[in-house]
Amino acid sequence: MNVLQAPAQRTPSIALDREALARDVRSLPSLPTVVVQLQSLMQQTDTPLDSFANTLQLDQALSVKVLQLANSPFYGLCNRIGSVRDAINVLGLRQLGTLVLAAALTVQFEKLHGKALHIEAFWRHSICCAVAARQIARLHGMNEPAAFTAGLLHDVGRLLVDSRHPEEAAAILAWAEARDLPYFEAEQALTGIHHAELGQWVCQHWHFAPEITDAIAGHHQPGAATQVSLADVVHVADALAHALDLAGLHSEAVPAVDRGAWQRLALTEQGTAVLLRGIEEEFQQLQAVLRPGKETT
Amino acid sequence: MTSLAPAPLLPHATPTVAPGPMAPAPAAAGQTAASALSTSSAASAASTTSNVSTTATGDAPGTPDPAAQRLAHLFRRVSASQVPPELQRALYAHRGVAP
Repeated sequence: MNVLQAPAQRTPSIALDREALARDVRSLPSLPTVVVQLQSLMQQTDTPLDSFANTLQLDQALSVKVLQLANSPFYGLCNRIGSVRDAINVLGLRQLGTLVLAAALTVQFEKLHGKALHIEAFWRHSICCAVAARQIARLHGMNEPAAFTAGLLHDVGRLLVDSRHPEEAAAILAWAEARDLPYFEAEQALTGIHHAELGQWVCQHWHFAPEITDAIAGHHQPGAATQVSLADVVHVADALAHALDLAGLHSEAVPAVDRGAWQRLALTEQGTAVLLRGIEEEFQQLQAVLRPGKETT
Repeated sequence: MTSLAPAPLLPHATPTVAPGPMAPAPAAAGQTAASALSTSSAASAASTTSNVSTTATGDAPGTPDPAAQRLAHLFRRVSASQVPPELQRALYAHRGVAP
């Protein structure tokens, strides 16, 4: 099918079967054992340091990334941390856990990558959204690791389509770009399936906490609520990440922001300015460790 | 088949708007958030080809400002009611573009 040749006034349909997508999700590889174990440890309120350090040390590549980050200029302790245990002491268990997860998911993202998405831009946006979500969560005393994880994975549903149905993914992307529409509007118009829902399926398959899967499902439509939710956090974090324009795509655009979510988060102009600076700074540091040699310049 | 290869990445440090086949048209209806921010500023024109401003870097009026052009480009899809003014003002200040 070549949707680009379709008349502009007609909306072509692209066959993406929900059952087939559900099967795709079930066929995804599990997360590495070490990541599952670390996730489990992070959920505990009194995680013993030794358990965490011992589990992390089972994966040498992850351990190296953790040490790189702990020794980065961001923490002002350049080249003084030589062990995973020291890194835990410096960074704190929860922060370290999220970084380990991010490093592990880098590998998973690359396995899922298909043809249509620009994976580097996708990855940079995901990291930026994760950092933004964590910083917003911190302002509200919310679960920072959960916010970081949800931000990192908020668009993973797009990766699923890109990986398993690359021609359809390319057609959706081309249709959106030709009309300068947000991707989610194009996928809704063409397939009736939303990547937020697919992302929820993926994260349920990977046994992430319901708080995280719900936030991913609602990141485009956080809905009405009286209390701030993790979906609010990821929704606004996504908007800030687009606004900061760090993905490096010409077609970047700030999306519409849900008024209710913004008001629940009570972000002022001054507070937003502080957030933007903090997000950009932390993004550059994290990007340098997670994607060495691929930082923006 | 039209090529679907990803577009080249833009260097962030020097934000620019590169007109091309995917260059967007301003919103067909309604006022864009960029144009609503100010009627006498860099953000006043959503056009990516004629944007001019007085920037925080001290450029003279009439000098095309890539940062202002890029910001207008970023806000091209949303109307003023779709994006919090706090966010927009904070972003313009963050990029050193006068409101």
